[in-house]
Amino acid sequence: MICKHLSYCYEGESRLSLTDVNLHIESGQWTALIGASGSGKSTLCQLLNGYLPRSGGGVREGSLQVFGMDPAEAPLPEITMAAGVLFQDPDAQLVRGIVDDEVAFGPENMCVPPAELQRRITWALEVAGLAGLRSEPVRRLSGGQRQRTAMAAVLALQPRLFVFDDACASLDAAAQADFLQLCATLQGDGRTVVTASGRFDDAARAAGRVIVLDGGRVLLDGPPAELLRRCRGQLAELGLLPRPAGEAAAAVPPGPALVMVKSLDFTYPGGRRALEGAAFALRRGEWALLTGENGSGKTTLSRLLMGLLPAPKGAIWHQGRDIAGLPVHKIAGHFGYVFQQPEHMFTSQTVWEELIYGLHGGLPPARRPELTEDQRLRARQLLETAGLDARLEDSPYLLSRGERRLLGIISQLIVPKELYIMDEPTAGMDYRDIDRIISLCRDACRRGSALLMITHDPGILSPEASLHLHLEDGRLTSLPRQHACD
Amino acid sequence: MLIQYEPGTSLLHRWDPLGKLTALMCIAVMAMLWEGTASHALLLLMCVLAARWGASMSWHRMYRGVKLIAAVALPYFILTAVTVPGETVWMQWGPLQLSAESVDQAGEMSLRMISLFLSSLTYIFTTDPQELVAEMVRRLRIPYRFAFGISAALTFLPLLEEEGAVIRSAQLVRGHLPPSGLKGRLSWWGKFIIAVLLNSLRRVQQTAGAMESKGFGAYDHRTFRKETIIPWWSLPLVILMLGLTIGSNWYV
Repeated sequence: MICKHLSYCYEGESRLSLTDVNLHIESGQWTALIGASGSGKSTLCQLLNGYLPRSGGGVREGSLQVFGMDPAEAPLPEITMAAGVLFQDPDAQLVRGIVDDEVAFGPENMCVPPAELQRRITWALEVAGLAGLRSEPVRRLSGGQRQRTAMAAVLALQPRLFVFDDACASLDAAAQADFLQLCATLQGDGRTVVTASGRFDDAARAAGRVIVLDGGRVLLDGPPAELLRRCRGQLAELGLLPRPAGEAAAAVPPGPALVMVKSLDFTYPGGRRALEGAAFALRRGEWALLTGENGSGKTTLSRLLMGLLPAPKGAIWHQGRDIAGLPVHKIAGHFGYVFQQPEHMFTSQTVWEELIYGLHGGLPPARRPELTEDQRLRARQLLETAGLDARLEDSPYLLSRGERRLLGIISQLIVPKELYIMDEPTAGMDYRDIDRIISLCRDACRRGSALLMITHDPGILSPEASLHLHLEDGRLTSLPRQHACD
Repeated sequence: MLIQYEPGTSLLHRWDPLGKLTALMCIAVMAMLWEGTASHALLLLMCVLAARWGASMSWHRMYRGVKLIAAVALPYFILTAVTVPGETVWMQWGPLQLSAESVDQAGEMSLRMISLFLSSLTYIFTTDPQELVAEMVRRLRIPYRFAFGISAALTFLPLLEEEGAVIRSAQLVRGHLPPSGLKGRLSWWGKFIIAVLLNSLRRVQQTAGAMESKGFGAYDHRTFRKETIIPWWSLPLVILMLGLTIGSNWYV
């Protein structure tokens, strides 16, 4: 892959997302592109197979050659066989509805004969750990399982260049390790591999070369060990390496349980058992982590707490009151919830409107009560901590993924609640944004709110948490803190 | 999700997509040509029997489907019943009147809507969109890009339904109170529909890009993984449905 003076500007934007990028990647290499949120790594990934500007619009300048062809102009069959890209958002690339149909779709388009097609599907599903789910509808899968489905769909195409944009973001630890093994195998088979992420993670350490992007430009380029030796401080400053641990988690003040879960079982219509005998208690000011493999029932548990799924009687108690049968809007008076996909929550045209939406509950401007001075002050504090204070008039949809997540979080935190539930808020985030989330959550706990955070990043978040819950095949266990840190 | 394919082994699940599509067309023709409430009640009964015992659709699912279309059919029934003039007047309130003829016409139209909806729902419920595309391309020689348009619509319906459910949940979590009163309901539905439309547009754009990234449209033809088995009774059943349609039309 050769790019010379490559620049790119998205449609409707004046700022360049990539500026004068010059790179040369040899065939058969494993290269890691890393950069903080908004650094341009996803843009570069999407240019490599011509998705940009061919489908996504925008203006590209400079030259880009992938195996000797320009992805924006090459015939579709050639570029499809040359470069396969796994995009950040799995939902954006699943088009057929059933797992094995998704995996078959690309090779079918490439006229792969049925016998070879079956072989590729079986192989790709095996590698992605989805062999047992091949007939499942995609909508019944967890976020991580959707990510694996999207990955299997790219693998089945068997292109010469694999581009994995934040492929590990929603994967559990075991799947992340499998992914590294997969990249090594693909490289061993002579394929070219490009991985992109917001952190100097294990994929970057395992790659032969690391390219660091910042503000759309190439900032650093070299072997991972050398970059870690030479530029550790700079990488930490960019949010690509964790900063030294700060203050430890504050002790939770003693008190009665705010939320009590007792012998919670849940089975989806159709018979899929998601939870079995889950039990735990949360106190005010407590920060709990909820971890577990993809599909282990984490999101199900959080949705039951929020009333988004019907909780069985006598299983979930809030301050001594059974919440079974309570409507969501009543539970929402006490509990806040941040979805895995923040876009699902957006209701407004600007960042500021989105932030204050919870304070007026969707009333038209003429009927809204004036914001109090305290509310304005709180809004400004939240925007500043989230690093969004300069984006007030921007559309929430035009923010980077990390910024959208932060906006989703502060839009909940602006309304005082007793418990905030967050579904994978740190997935795919760089360390700078994770620090921002930690800071926001610490503040919420200090104010007396409890926090239940689903995450695949226990290594980063455990020092902050006072309780670590772990789900395995629907069974909940409580881990001691030391174990969680390990 | 209501409007989507559910794998199964029922009679209609085993019927090949094109044979079943012909039967669906026959029902549509009968629904358009038949007249009178009684004949449409008979047609609806046939559709209900086919859904329940031909497709193994649960009563609950059927009820949810009928409830959905009843939101349109019921107001239409009332409006037609009191506004269409008739000779056998039962009741009169100023310019409005209820007559035997208007009730018959209102019943015919409303039952027609329900029959068409239920038969389509049964078709979607029992037909794998991928098999439909493959059959259209293989047997009808329809260009696969066009056939995929139909399949995409069938695939998108459950996705949009799911998207709507997620957005509805998100709005409740954001503090939207359930609507009360006509104005409140209209406002709530307005916001909901705009949110679903915006997300759907985004989704359609993303999907189009994703399909192209996977080589959709790269060649004039493509391969299909699934081979559809056409049961021996498909053709006789199609002939029976065609005969019923033509015969009943002649009779009507």
